[in-house]
Amino acid sequence: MALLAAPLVMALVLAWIRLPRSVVVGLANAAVAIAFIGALLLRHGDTVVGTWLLSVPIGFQVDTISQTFALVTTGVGLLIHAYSAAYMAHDRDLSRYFAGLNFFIAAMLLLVLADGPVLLLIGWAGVGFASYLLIGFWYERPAAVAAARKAFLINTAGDVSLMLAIALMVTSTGQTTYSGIFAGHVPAVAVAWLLFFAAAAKSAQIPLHTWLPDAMEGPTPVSALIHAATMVTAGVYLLLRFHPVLAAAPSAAEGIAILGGASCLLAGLMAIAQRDIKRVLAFSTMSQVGYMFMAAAVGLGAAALSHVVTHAFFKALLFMGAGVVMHALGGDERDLYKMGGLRQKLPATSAAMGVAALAISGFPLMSGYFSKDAILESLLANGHPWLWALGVVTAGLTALYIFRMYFLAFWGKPRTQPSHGESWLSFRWPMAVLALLAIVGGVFVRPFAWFSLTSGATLVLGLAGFIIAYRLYALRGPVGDAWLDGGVGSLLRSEFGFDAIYQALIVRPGAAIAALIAAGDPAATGGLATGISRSAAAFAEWLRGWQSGLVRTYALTILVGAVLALLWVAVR
Amino acid sequence: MTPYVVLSAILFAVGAVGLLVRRDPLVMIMSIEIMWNAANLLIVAAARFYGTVSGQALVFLVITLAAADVAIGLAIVMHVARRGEAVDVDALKELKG
Amino acid sequence: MTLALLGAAAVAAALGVILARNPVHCVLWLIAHLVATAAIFLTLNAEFLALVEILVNAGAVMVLFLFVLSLLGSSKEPEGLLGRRGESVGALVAALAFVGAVAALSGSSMAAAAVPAAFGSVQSVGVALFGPHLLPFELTALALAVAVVSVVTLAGRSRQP
Repeated sequence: MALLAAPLVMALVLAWIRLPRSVVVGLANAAVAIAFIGALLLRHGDTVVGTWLLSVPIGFQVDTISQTFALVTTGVGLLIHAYSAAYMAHDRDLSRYFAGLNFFIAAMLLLVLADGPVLLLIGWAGVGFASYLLIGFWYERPAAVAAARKAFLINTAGDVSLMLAIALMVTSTGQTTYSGIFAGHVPAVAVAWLLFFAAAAKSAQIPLHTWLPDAMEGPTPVSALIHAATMVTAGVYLLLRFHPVLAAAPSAAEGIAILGGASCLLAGLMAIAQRDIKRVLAFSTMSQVGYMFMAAAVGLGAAALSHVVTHAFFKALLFMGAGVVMHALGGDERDLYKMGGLRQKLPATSAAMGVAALAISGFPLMSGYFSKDAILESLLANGHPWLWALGVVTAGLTALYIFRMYFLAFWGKPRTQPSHGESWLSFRWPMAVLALLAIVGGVFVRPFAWFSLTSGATLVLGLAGFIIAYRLYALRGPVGDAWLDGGVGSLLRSEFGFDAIYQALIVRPGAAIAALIAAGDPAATGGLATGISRSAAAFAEWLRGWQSGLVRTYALTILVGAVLALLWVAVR
Repeated sequence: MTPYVVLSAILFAVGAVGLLVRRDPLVMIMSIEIMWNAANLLIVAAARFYGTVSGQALVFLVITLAAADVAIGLAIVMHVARRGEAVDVDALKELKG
Repeated sequence: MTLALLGAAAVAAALGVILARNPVHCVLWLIAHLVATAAIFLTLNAEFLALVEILVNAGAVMVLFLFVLSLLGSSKEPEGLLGRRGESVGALVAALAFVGAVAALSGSSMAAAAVPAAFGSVQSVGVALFGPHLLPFELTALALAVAVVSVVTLAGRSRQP
């Protein structure tokens, strides 16, 4: 399992050993390259490596799902590593950064290659931990620390849910491998909802999505990694892997699909009202993952898997482009209102972003066209017209928000002069590769249909979204957002108030209980603790008197001790 | 065997008293020599009474170690003396707790 | 009878060590003590050890003491022969209790074993040392090496503060 070991070992090496910067970059990239080659060479089947926890086998299972995920994780991960080498070139903590990145890849690989839920859980928790490390990478920024904590807490809620699901499955079947579990009887409805809750936390689906926009505080390549290659897709993997359980509970699967559709639509709406370029992309990810959830929940695994792959290509590209823009505007400028006109200064980036925008909005023959329409067509064909309608409407929204972002950033008059251009080679070649993949990535997903009712509908709505975006933003810039000042706009800008609701329902009561405990604590445990420490200090003070520094006193003490021991023997 | 045990104990006690009451470190080291010697005497007697020569081999090693002990002790005394301090163990109590 | 005489001599010499005021006298008393002990060794069939006792302890080690004394100059003890009174009394009481406890414990009237004529000769001790007790012997060599290094470090001139 070299592909698993290389990034893991390198993460440990980089975390503990100080190395020159160029060596750090080289080693980190090499480790992921090895993992990518290993993923290419994977052969389908099971391998059992050993046993732990008394009887749980450590084994790996390779099938189409896990190999696809492993390839996306390592392939896109490798490009992001290469991009990071330039993006993070001036950061003083390069080694810690790449250690986190490699650990992220290793944890994700463990997650997708495990042959049972117990090992999967370890990778799952590792992914959450890695995201905590990387979102909070710039720990001097309070916002980054808060975002990392938020992501970790919400993910932990998901982890608990996953643990409960695994416990239910393992106790009801007595098996710890996927094949064993799926052969037995599990309480499908409960497990399905618990799995969904876990997947929603990791993949930022309603109702556990609020960490994702905040996670934009991390370095931009980390965002790319989280959104494209590793973390967010883990939830989709979970639904795909446990599809037999979902199939055994059709009502739950239907409910999960509806929640996925809600995420898809609402995130598309929220993305329209964002000023922060990375938050647009964050909600866009949420929306696209909503598509995957819809398909995965109702058993359309192949379609969902194809969208995972294509989404990884264009979403990584979008984040890389956003990173170049931020970099050109002096490091950390994310406000779309302060961009504009970057087409002239950043032509290559502009072209790449344009390609990615076309791909995500499903322009014919580009990768997003095939994968998204694959999902929608299968939904329609399998009797889910309402989900189909949700998806088609969201396709129009996708075109609207992504081109709003594109036009605000790259068209119109410059509102800030870029401080430098896109000079670095290593910035560009990963983007070029991804742009190519975003265009032709459809071949990986085996086109379902070249044209159909669905593609016609998405095309019309997508075109409408594009035209609206062009009319509102291409020339007028931020003024085009005037229509958002009304009631609906403020609802969108407040992101439907999820954060406020959670604040009122969970955070404030929790803080109140914590304050209560903090007030009562000094008297109870505090008194006990200080009492123990005081008596220990008093005892130490008394004992200190014996340490007189006089050698002969010590010798006398020894002699008296020897005599007492002898007397004790004599008397006994 | 009892006379040897008692003799050894008396010699050991004399050495211990010397160690405890004298203040000159050189004399203290000599007292320790007496204590070593008392132990050696007991071992040699035991070797004779049990009829095994291993005890004598042990005493040989003990004499060696005693010599090393004296050498280090004297080196410490020299070191202290060179620092210009009084050669008096009661004055040397910097390690007081 | 021999033991009583030699033992009395050894105890007397030991008392001389701890009671003499002048350290040089202490050394001389110690030599007498060691010679008396060596004589006791002889009565216990330990010829080799008796020789070692005289050569190494009474000879080399005592010369070392005298060297140090001559380097330090005459060092009469600062004031009074003894340390603080309480400690001295405690030491005496403890020592008496120790002797009493040992005497009370050593109740066995064990007879000496029959031993061959060569018992305690250089050869027999050597065979024991290099045969079954080789490892402790080598470890003692190691301990000596450590002692040499530490003495050199402590007494080295370059380390003067």
